[in-house]
Amino acid sequence: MKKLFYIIPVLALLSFVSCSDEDDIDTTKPAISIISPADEDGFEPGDEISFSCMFSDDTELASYKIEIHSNFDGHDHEHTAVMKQAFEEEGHEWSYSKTYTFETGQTVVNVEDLKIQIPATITHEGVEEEVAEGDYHFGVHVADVAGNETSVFVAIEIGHHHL
Amino acid sequence: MPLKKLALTLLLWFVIVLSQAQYFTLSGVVLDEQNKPLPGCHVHCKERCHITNFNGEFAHNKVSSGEVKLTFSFIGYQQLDTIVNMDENVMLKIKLQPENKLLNEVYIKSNAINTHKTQKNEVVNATYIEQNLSGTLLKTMERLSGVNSMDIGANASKPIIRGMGFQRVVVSENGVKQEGQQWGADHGLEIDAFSIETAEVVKGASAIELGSDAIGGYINISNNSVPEKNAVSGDVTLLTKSVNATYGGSFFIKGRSEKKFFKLRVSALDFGDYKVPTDQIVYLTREMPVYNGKLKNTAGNEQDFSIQVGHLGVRFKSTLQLSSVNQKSGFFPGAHGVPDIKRIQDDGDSRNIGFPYQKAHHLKVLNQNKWFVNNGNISVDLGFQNNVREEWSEFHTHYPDQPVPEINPNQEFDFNLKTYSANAKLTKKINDYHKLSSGFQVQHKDNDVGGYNFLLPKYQSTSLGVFVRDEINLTDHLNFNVGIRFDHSSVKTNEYFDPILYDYFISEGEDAEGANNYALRSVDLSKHYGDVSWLLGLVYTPSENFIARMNLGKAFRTPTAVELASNGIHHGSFRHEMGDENLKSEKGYYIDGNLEWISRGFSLEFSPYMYYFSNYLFLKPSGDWSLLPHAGQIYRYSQSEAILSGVELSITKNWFNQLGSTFIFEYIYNQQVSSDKTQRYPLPFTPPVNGFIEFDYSRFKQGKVVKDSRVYINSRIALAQNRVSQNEEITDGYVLLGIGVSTKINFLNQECTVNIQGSNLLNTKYYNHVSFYRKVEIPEPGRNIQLLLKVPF
Repeated sequence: MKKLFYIIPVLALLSFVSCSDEDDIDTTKPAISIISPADEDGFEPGDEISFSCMFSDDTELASYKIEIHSNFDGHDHEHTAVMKQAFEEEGHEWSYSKTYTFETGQTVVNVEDLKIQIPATITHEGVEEEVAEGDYHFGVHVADVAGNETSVFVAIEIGHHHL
Repeated sequence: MPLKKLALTLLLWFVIVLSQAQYFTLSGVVLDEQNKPLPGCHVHCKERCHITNFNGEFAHNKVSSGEVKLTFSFIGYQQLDTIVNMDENVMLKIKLQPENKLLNEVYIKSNAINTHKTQKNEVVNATYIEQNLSGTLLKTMERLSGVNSMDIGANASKPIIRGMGFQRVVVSENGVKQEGQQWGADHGLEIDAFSIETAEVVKGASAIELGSDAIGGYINISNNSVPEKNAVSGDVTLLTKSVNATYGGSFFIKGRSEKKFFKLRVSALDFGDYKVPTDQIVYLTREMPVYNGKLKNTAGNEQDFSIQVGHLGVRFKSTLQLSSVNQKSGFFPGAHGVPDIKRIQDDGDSRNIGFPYQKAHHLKVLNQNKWFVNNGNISVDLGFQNNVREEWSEFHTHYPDQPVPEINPNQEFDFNLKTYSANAKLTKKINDYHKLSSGFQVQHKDNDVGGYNFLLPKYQSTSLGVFVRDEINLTDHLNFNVGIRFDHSSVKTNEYFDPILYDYFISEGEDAEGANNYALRSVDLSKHYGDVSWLLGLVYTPSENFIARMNLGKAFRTPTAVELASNGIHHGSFRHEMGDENLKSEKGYYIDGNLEWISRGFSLEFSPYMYYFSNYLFLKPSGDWSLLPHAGQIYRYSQSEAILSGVELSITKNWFNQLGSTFIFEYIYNQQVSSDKTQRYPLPFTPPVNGFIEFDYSRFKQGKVVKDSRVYINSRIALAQNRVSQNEEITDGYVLLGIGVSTKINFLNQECTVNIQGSNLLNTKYYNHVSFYRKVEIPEPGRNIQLLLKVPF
């Protein structure tokens, strides 16, 4: 009780004083500028995806994550569960996820030609399967040291018909 | 004069002393503030209770001579206690004053305020809601300073009071806490908006009688008024809105004999995709067209049913209520997870609901009992609620090897919450100085989960609260409120091991131990919490025009199962939300004030407040990447020292006895407290500085066909919210324009209510900082014209 009676006036003061502290917090999100891959780029199973990108932040970059997964539910609204089974018969969905940490103190980082290997086949339960063809999302998430996060997605296609 | 008074008193006393023990009849009439009879008013006379008839009359026969204490009570009116000396047949004329300031009145009489409660409450009635119904119930209540609505599209919303929402605001129906999935940003209130008779709002911590969750405030919705005696009546309400082509209606019938009554309501709503004033949405750099100005797949429907039966005894009132609310509504698919243009192609149908969508069912059974005893009452409420909330989304696996479920393959989440509750309360006037209330609340929750995705585990929780509160009437000008409450709660969560996730991590090259760690989505957990809340409040009324209230207290809130044990991706975002089993109870100290000046034609209300939380609980970005597929950062339920403060201002003024006006202003300032300057972030979901201005005119001639007409023009203004938490967007300010007309038309001897209302008339493109769709860059609904027609029978 006694503690409370001095906490409240002190905090009341603090709340007004602290207005000036706003400059110290960081709510500016980092920026992502993906050079490659580009939207609608096509790849074949076994290809390498070349990732080139510029990351920037006003304070300090922390880390980024690359995530690739299928977007097979994008086509149809009604029969996705059925379609999903159909896809599975034709091959195995590929997914990729990896995180990278920036060196400390960086505000601008250029990633040039980072190679990501698309496997030609995927071994699933002892069976070698083709990589399922179709639309994939290539996602990039970046965070700064304060936890501000930016995400960008590129739609790519993996299949043989792009020859 | 004093001599004359004294002489009269002496004479009266003399007569009393002389009079024999005879029987007399005590009768009277109870009137409201406009001198209209009040049927259904409870009149307590000694051990008995009468209910006034249709003409507001009551009669109590065979009253023996001497002093008789009478209590008059009626929902929404200030209780009136009086003592009558029975020395002959007495005929009384009693006038009750509204307990609360009804908002649609330009000014109120100074004695109409409840001066015993230290917390200001505001009550809106059905007429007010009908007249001002803008979108959703909570959108309507936004015109109360300090209340903001967190919207999910055009037809669902949930409350924010003083910048606090989710579990920090209690919504109750007839005093029983509504239990749904209130922690989630994408679900609205599951209450039939047509069924509301009054809605009471209290801003500020109200933990003593409502439970420790009501840190921000509470909204109590009532629909348990007693119908008129020996009559059957009802009404049909029709509603249509242009913004999403809503067609809806509600049928209501009520009836009462001497002692029994019933009420029955059936409502239905059907709405299409809502219009947004933009032709393109840019989310995560992807440009998504909005076809025909309508936001795809935001259509929905609702079917509600409720029945109430009641018994009115001499000293006992009991009601049994069963209600069912069923909602289904779509989510905009373009920004549900990864933005995707393919999912938003126009299908030519603006009323279909495709994937993803949500369904909510809320079933409630309430039994409420009240006994009137000498100088007080006892109430016992028993309740059962079943809230089922399902999210349906095309089965998109998060892991390549997840098999398609055989039953309901596209059901992503299924939360099935059963809540059993029992509340008991005794209120008793001990003497002229003390009015004591005391009671307990027991609640048991059982939550089951299903669906192909995992967010939170099965859990069971039990809580018990015990409270005592004393209203001390020190002098005519000074009242104190003292309250203390103890709460204990226990939460048990069940282990969940995700074999598919285990296989995924193994296939990604993780070792068995690592994969095991990730795949164990939740553990068996048993936590116990207990703490004390207290309140010291005072009301000072030095004159008829001025009232000052102040409260000081401590409130706390126990962590919920969601905050302790969730572990998954909530769809529509890339957040991996993770609970923390080591969370402590959130504790807050608060001080708030309320100054009110009321005179004829003018009123002013000023309410500053401040909270200090030693450990405010919220979802905070951790900076760690989630290893779950489709996920960005992990957001952990974390605690931080925080302050939360603000002011609310409300002015009403009547100009030249003709034009009414209302001005509302709200400012909230909050911040995490830390010795590290870089960590002093504002708290998430903080409404910007906002205001509301309305002018209305209702001095029309009362005609035989058209009467009680009112026209109004209003504007809602919000400044930009630049003070944001991590990963919140800065939101620009806006100015919205609205107009409306409400009137009563005599048609076939029935007084029909017609309300026409237009909101966002200029079709302004704006964002609501606290809305669900804000983070996906979808503007709020555009211009809406709506018509509400109510025909009684």
